[in-house]
Amino acid sequence: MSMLQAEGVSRVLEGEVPVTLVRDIDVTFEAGEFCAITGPSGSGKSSLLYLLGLLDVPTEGRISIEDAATSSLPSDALADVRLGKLGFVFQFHFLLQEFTIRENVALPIRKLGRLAEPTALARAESLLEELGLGDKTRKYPHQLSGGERQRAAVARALANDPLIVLADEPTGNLDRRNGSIVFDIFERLAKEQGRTVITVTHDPSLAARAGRRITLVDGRIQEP
Amino acid sequence: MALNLEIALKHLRSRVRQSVVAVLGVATGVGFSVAMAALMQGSLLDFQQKLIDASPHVLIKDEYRDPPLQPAERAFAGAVALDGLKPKEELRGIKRAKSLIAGLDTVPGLSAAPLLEGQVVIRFGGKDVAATLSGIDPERHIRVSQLADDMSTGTVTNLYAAANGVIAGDGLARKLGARIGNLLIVSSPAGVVLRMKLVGLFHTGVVAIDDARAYALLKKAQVLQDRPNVINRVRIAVPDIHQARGLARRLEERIGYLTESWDEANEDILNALQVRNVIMYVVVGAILLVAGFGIFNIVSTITYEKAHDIAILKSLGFRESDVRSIFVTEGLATGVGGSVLGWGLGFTLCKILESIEFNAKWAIEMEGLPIYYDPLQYGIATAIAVTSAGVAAFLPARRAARLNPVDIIRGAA
Repeated sequence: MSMLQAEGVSRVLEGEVPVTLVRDIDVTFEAGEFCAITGPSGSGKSSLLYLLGLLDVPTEGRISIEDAATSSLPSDALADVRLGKLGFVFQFHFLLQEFTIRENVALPIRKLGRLAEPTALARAESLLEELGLGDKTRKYPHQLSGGERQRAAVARALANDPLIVLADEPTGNLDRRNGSIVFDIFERLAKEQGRTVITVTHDPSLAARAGRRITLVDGRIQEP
Repeated sequence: MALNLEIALKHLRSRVRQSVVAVLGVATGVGFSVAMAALMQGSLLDFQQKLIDASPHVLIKDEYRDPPLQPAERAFAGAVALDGLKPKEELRGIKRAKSLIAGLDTVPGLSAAPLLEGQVVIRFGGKDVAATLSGIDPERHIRVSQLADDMSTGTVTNLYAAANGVIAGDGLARKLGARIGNLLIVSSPAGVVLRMKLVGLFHTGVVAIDDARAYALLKKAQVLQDRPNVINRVRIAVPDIHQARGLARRLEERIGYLTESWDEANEDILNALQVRNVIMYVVVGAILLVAGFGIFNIVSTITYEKAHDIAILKSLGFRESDVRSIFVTEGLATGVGGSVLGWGLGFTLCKILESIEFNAKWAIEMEGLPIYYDPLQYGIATAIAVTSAGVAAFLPARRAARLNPVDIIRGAA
């Protein structure tokens, strides 16, 4: 059983001049796989990631998670899949400024509603502890450094124990040291916890650390 | 839902100044609407009460609502037109009045009293003042009017004590410069002149009555008007004033004479008050509408500023309905917060208005602003404020819920 699969996926932006973001993508990801998507700017890396993460809907083809097709799901059902099975990390941390990082991490847990609020907060603290932010759980995002904020964003992505972690240029705003820390975390998630980690990066040295590398050019996967 | 509420409240707290302005906008709307409603309702009820106290609940007059039809017109309705008729001169007055009053006396709860009303000129100390003199049966009259309670000097039964006693409104006495015990010269259009002794003063608070009405015994009034044994009014009191109109209609159908209830007789004034209420509600509605725009503005601004938060919430798995509820909750919270503050403001305004003292004489004498406290006023103002807040917030909330997270994330990258 594949964890995540794209079959014949294309995404075209309608308009006077239609723009093709990705075309004829066929790709399968397995559990425990750490994959880096690389390619030049405008090649469709992020677009593919958003399609794989069900944030965008393909104009052709289908995306399946654990062999279950998602194409026909309504937006609420897609939101539920994102909540329970996917975790996102973006180039910008997007932490909610009014919440402490502990509360930010607990947000998806509370939204899922499987744990009571104190337990959700305890789990958030535990995740932050794992990512080296144990002493900063009650700080607000603006009180943290860029690297710390991004690690908090990773903790939030892991809050509901997702099967798949999708990261879009997660190190784009970080220095090399902090970028390396984030990739260390991704490696651990894949190797030790068996999660599927898919990250978009333009940094060849970081991409080289991934077990698998997919290169996109002009919206198509370039065969090695 | 609790999580959405928490996010909504944190959004509002993050924009304290704008949130406070929006809440104050709603509070002002609610506060002023409560105060205006309390004032309007208070003045309406006060006016109505004074009107009811001063006016007969039902009054039978020796007049007809429509001119009587000729026999030929009754027999051939629409086919006959008569011109140049000379109406038959009838002796004015209510016929078979005694049996009419006796019949009314048999109805449980009703009280009836005969009157003979007529215009007179009262002279005292060289001053002539026109007035309406009502000849009354004091014992019956105090059962159908507030005259006994309105007496400021003397009693109604003083009319029996003097040979030609008269009770006058205090405004009328003031105009004449007359005091208790003075002899007034009262002349009627019939040419009869009587010297009448001022034996009492009354004060109703209705200027038109206090300044131009006097009472005498029915027999004396009949002598003065040269209309022996005639009455031209029957005043009726009913236990429930809201039944007055129906009773008047039924009586008129039965006896034929023009029979008016207190509200029909004062319909023009009461209609004017209704128009005033409509104007008041339009003004209050406008205030709340402006407050609604304030809420629309703040929720729109928050949705614009929080576009990244919306994107991340949706990527985390929040549904469109969650996002919509967060921003609608922000509007509703502003509406509810503003309403609660508005209750305090409204109550304070009512107390301030109530404390203002003045002595005004319009149609009704007023010594202060009558305020009517009613929880319903607070409820209506709150319902309007919260509904308009919800509607004002819904539009930007719907837009926020429809935002495509990918567009926002791309824009931020």
